[in-house]
Amino acid sequence: MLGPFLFPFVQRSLAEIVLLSFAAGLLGSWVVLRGLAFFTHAVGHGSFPGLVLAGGLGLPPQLSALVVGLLFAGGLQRLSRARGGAYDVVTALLLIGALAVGVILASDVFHSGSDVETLLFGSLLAIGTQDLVLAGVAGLVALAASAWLGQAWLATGFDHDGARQLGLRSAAPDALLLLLVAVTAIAALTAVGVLLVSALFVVPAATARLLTRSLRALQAGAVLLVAAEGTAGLWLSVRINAPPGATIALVSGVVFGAAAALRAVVPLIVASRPVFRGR
Amino acid sequence: MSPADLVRVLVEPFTEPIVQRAAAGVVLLGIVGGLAGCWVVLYGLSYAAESLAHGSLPGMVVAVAAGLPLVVGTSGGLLVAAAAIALVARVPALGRDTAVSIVISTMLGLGALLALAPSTPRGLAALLFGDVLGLSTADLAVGVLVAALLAVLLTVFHGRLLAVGFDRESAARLGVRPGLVELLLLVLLGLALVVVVPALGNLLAAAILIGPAATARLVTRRVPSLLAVAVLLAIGCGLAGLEASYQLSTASGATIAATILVVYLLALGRATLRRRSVPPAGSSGPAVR
Repeated sequence: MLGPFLFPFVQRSLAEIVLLSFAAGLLGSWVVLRGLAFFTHAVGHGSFPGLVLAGGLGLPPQLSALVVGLLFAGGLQRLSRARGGAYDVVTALLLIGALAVGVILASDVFHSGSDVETLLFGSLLAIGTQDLVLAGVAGLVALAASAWLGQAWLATGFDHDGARQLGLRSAAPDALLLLLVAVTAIAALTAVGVLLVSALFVVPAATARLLTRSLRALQAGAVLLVAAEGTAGLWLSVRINAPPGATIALVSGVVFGAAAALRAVVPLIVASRPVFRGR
Repeated sequence: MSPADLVRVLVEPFTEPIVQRAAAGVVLLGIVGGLAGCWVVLYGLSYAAESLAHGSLPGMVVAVAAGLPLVVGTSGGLLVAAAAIALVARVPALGRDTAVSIVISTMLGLGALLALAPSTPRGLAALLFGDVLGLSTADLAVGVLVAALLAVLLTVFHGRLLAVGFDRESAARLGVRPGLVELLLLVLLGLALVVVVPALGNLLAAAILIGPAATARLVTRRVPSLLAVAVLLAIGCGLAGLEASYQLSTASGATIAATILVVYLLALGRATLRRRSVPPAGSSGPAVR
């Protein structure tokens, strides 16, 4: 039963998933509450050319992905503020453009071959020390930011004008939230690849959102779900010899489906609870 | 190089049968993508278009493994993804974007799981990034059928699409049912994707739907000219991308997608510069929404 977890490389993967669960669960809660799913999805895709470049030129992949991912996120924010540049249109086109550039670099400049599939769907079974450190730092930053800025994110998320009257400047914390989501999503790229970032950052938090209305419980639930689904997906992938990132995505989707079905059957779970207690 | 030489170099790729076939395919993709794309952009469905294309991956992998035509697998995958998104979007407290994200992450995971399984024939990259040069006669025939069907449906329902897109409430009062019209638009989007996804790939297909239409929107606001400009731009970008991919020997689907993005960014830059030099006209509000 525990067979897969006796391999040292699987233990490293397990450690990576547990470390990532803090950033993914905590910030994922905000992604779901603030409707940032498309942004998260796009930033993952946007860093693809960075990973291809890193592979081709021998640069550190995390750094390269970070630089390209941040350029992508910045360009996205800038362009979507231009009049005539609708946010969803700009996001969709830029993320497809990033994929296209990545593919051209991979197939015609560096001839990266089957590495492309690894970049797209992750390589959780080949985790390096750098990845673990990055995931740990992302988790700490997410914890600190949630504690420090959670109130501001909550206030601006519900009532932009009210937040301004309370003296909260809504632009800075919001920009910081986008920045944090981008940076921590990049920490997850080795684990789940550029295509499946939402499997860690959106699906578990959305599942937790179905089961609770309290912010604290949502965040704790999301962290636990990322860790549990990641562990289950990792175990299953080693047992059936499947790619771990894809297996985790599938497991998370199935758990969400089960939770949604449960909620439909047992509406009492969430009924008659107060809306967000906050802190 | 004299102009005649330049023309000869530019025309040369199109003397090869395989490129001629791809060019015919690209013209069909342009018609389908441009027509459906205008309504997708006007109704704010870009994320849905981009994600539905992703969502067809498991269907495509199953079709390849079972030896079925790719069109069958794509349609199946699209139907399942669309139904799942509709279902999840009904869960209260989660927005449409979150619902889309959940379904797509699950479908991509399932698709990759199936595609990377040892028993499945290799070729995930071709499904993800398309193969314009590998279009079969059957693919082209399906393309012609879908283009004709789209043209007919869009002509018949033009008034209703316009009414609901312009003002949902007053359209309802005029006796048009907005829910049905929006459902119709999703069907149109699905039809277009069935043709576009096998050619441009799961990850890049939405480019030809969203890009030319969004570019056209920066140039014109009247819907008939929007449709015309989008179709012409889509065909033009497609052919230019095909030409560039031949000359630079780069991946064809990715080069077409990159061409579309470059044209959009140029148009967006031009629109921004013009707005700075000319004071905004009072009548520049959106034609639809």
